[in-house]
Amino acid sequence: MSLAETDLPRTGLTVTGLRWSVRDRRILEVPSLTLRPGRVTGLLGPNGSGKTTLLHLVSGVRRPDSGSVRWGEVDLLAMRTRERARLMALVEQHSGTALELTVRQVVELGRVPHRLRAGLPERDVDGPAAVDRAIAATRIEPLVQRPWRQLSGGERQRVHLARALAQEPQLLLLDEPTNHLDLRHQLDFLTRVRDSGITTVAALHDLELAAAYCDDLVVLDEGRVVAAGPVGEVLTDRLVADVYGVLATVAPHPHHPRLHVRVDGVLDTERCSR
Amino acid sequence: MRRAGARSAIGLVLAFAVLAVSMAVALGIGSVSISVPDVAGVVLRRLGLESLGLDFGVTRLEDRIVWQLRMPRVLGAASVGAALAVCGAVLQSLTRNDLADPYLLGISGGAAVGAVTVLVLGVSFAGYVGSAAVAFAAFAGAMVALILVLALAVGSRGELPPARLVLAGVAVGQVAGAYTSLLVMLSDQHDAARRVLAWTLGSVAGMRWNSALAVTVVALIGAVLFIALADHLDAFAFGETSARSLGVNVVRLRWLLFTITALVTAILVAYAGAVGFVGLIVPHMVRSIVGPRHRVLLPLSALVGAVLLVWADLGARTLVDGQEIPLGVVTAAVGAPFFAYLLRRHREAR
Repeated sequence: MSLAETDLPRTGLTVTGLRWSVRDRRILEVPSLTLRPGRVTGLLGPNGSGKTTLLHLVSGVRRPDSGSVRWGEVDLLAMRTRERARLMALVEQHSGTALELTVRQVVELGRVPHRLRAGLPERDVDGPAAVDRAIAATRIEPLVQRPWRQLSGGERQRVHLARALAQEPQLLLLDEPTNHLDLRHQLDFLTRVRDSGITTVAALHDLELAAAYCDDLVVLDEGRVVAAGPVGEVLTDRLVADVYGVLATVAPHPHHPRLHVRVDGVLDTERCSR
Repeated sequence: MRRAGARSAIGLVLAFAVLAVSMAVALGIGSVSISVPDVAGVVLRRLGLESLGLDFGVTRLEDRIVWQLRMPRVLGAASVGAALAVCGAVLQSLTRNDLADPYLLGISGGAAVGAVTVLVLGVSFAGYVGSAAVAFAAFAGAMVALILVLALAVGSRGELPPARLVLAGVAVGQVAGAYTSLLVMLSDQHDAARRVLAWTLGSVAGMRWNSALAVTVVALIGAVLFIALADHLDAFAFGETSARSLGVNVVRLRWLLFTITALVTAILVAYAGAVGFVGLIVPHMVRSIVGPRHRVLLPLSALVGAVLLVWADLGARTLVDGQEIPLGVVTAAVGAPFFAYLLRRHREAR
């Protein structure tokens, strides 16, 4: 993954004037947001706050009504779809298939953007090596010959991460990747992400995981950014109360040099029923 | 990985050999039997190998029977089978629907409206009469149905959601079915129903050299184009969002492939009627043997579809003396048991 580190643009990801609406209802509006390169940024916010939408707009899966997304000097929205897919990879919350693919074949899907060219297949010389590196980095060697459909949820997400790494992206977008995973697999998944060294934006639900694995946080509420910055500055009792309607105590972790979130209860029942 | 690549290469070569042998056997069987070596002699001579100084000892009668009478029909059967199978495979991947087949977009219904109108009312079409009129009317009907289905299914942002396409295809197909049923019921020709049914079940009996070549060219162009887009189709394994994030322009690819599969199918239907089963089942058969990757799935589906239809057509013209059995009846009778066997064998996987 040294390639991703040497090519890092100094300005990182810049979002300007981004809007997305469905039938005149505004789903997301981000006037300005900058994410630092080489960092893991956690995307927090309640259900429906626009986390997935933001990731889809940045990844080009959806086209915004207006606005721009830049990676360094590169205008991501003006790029061809396949060129964008060589720059960034997306891991969805859980995506399945009815097809009988082996694990290695799923990881090899990550090379698709490197083979597409004007509709005709292109020779992908680095392909097999990149697939091997991604398999090694996610430690799924024992799984490679297994049918993907026989894997557990945790194993499947790890294979999806390997597929994303095989894309050799500079930017990794993760949409609630640890949902439905048991505790061990959640920690394991995020450790692999950190170890990759790739600039990452990860939508997360678990504040404790966010505090443990993220450098920076962006907090969304009702389609707007309500806080952004280093974890230590963003994650406060007040923010958790305002955004989630939950009474929590954010304090230094007793054993690690990071924050710890203790949830004390629901603050505002009206908010939940709304 | 490399072993799997070698295995699929061997599979392709084997399937190609089976197709060649099947065609040679089919060319030799009929009211006059001709041995496989003699058939090979006729074909090799016609392909210009005589100029190499080889003598195949072919009689003029053998040449006429094999090359002029039987070859168009056998080649047409192989091409129709190959094209239906690849179209089915592409549509199943594009819609992620196991039940998708080449007639998904109302093609067969629309073609039937055209064909049945000519068959029952006996009208000429665009100056053509007889089977040429049926073919042209069927193609025109299929195009009208396709345009209706696309217009119904297209979304506000110009996208083509597969679920809407399937439903639009059903709606147009129902209207077309109502029209053809009504026409048959109201017809005073006593054999109208039988002729319409025979057309609907498909046949390559009417193939001549020009129609066989047309179908072959269409099948080749379609297959080459689809195989060139194999990586794009692979990217749909985990759905539309995943395909986009892997660099596929989903909307453009859908328009391209839905339109091309529909055009190919419309041409096949015009010449051979709506041959069922091949486009639906062959991709499933091949997938269960070599897996879902399109670079292998598509060429192998084409070859298996061709082999299936060559044998089915041989059955159609030889099983009952002096009468043609509809192709669709034979494909289903031959293919369904084999498919049932595969379903049982793969019980554990699903």
